[in-house]
Amino acid sequence: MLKHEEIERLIQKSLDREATVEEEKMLQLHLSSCADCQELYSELTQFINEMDEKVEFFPSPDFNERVLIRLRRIGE
Amino acid sequence: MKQDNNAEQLIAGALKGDEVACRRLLNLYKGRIFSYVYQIVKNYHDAEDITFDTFIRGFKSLKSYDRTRSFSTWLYAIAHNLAIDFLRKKKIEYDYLDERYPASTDFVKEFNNKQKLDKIDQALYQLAPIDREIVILFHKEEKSYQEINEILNLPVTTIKTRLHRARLKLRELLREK
Repeated sequence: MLKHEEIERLIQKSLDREATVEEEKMLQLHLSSCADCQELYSELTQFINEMDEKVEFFPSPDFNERVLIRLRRIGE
Repeated sequence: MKQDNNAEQLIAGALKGDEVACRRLLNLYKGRIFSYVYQIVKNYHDAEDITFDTFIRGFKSLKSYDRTRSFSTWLYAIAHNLAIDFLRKKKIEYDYLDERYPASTDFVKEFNNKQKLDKIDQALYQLAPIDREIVILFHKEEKSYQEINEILNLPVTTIKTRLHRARLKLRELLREK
């Protein structure tokens, strides 16, 4: 049985996109049998999924025009 | 790497002074850069000025851009440096790396009323600015550690340690909600 610290390290490695296939398997196997680690994993991944849906803000509508006007001036 | 595949032809066009290509590049990247800068400086007008300067500097120095690398990473690095210069000039009184000085609660309150700040944003604002940048670059922009190193000019090991800590902190903050 893996220790809690080792699982946390594996979870972080998985979220870092650096876990090997073997490590992913080991992690998933552990998560399926340990409610505490499963909870940690879901909570850590929750915000990552939500980050993806985060709204993008935009500068004002005349932004492109202002940039191009400045570039033309610089080019003159 | 989001959207960078489309950039190559547009960069070639922009280098020849083609304004249509410049416009398309602006449309591809202005939202991402503006949102990123906004998270650092926390003010709409300042974020717009810095985004403006980022693109001017980017277009002006396009010749020096190494096309074997990611265009957005290059732009983020310019934006990051301009945003940090701005904070320094404004003598913002917090240590950039110090999490004891997160965004002021007044700001969060004000922003909350105006923009209906969601749970995630509220939690992000409680991180140190550098950690906020790391989380956004890694998880929103899907940048690699190496690319974040190019943008922030911090060692990969530092970025990794800070990201690991930030994840645990975010978990804690989101639990409290």
